[in-house]
Amino acid sequence: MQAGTLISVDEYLNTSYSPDCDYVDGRILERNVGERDHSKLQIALGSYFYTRQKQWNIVAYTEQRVQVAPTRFRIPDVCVVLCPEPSDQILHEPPFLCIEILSKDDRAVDMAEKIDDYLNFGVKYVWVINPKTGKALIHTASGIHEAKDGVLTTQSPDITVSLGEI
Amino acid sequence: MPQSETLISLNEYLNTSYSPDCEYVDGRILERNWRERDHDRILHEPPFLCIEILSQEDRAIDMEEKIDDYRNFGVQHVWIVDPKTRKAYVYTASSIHRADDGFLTTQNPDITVSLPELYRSQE
Repeated sequence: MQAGTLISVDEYLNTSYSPDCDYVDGRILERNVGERDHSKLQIALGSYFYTRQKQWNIVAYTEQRVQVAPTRFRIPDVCVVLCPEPSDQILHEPPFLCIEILSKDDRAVDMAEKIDDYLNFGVKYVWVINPKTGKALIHTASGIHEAKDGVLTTQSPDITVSLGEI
Repeated sequence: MPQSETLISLNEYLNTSYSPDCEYVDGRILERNWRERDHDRILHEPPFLCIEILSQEDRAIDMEEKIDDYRNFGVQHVWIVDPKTRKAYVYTASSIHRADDGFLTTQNPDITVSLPELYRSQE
């Protein structure tokens, strides 16, 4: 895919990318995946949520397409929806939580735009985690908080994830 | 370091590291009078405010590390500004917030910068 080439939503939805790509207003945006730290934390978080799905009445996905706007699709590293589980293959309603695990090549401006996309779409919580340092930020519509001691939380439902434990 | 009178190409200047850095004027390398200013060339105490303006290529992890460096050093306020989206973030020792109202602020002293006003002045 040439940089700057615009494609339609329909073409994006009918094309397989490996790894899957974000789609933003006609542009295909590659995601920075494939690093070991990123991969390990992603599967650890996915497993952590998976084993607690009943307890928290949630469903967790990794690399799930989320249509955040008519011409914008994002693929959070991990996302969590509240039950009942949506029936569509692509999420058209805001997940409760989206998690982005930073890779060394993630650009700050792109990450900020992605977080804005989630929050503008109605995602309640966006966690951004640096797997190298273990630092994390919790973004909500009302502000940004640093995860003290690596503990990430949500409310309604109360979800707590200790990165140290993971 | 070439002699002051030696002329070099612009390309050579741009591909050479000078320590301390030098100015380039019409083929000449001009040393700057750092020796007279060595004592104040580098800040050894935390600035009150540091501002980072995001470039397209700035990596999130690098920026996070830089912000941590400032805060750990004792910088009280760090402003991160994205000139493309015109969004901004204010970091202090204890908090982070988005400057959604367009105002970048500090306390003690109270400094307020209106981003919309700043951008208007550039147009």
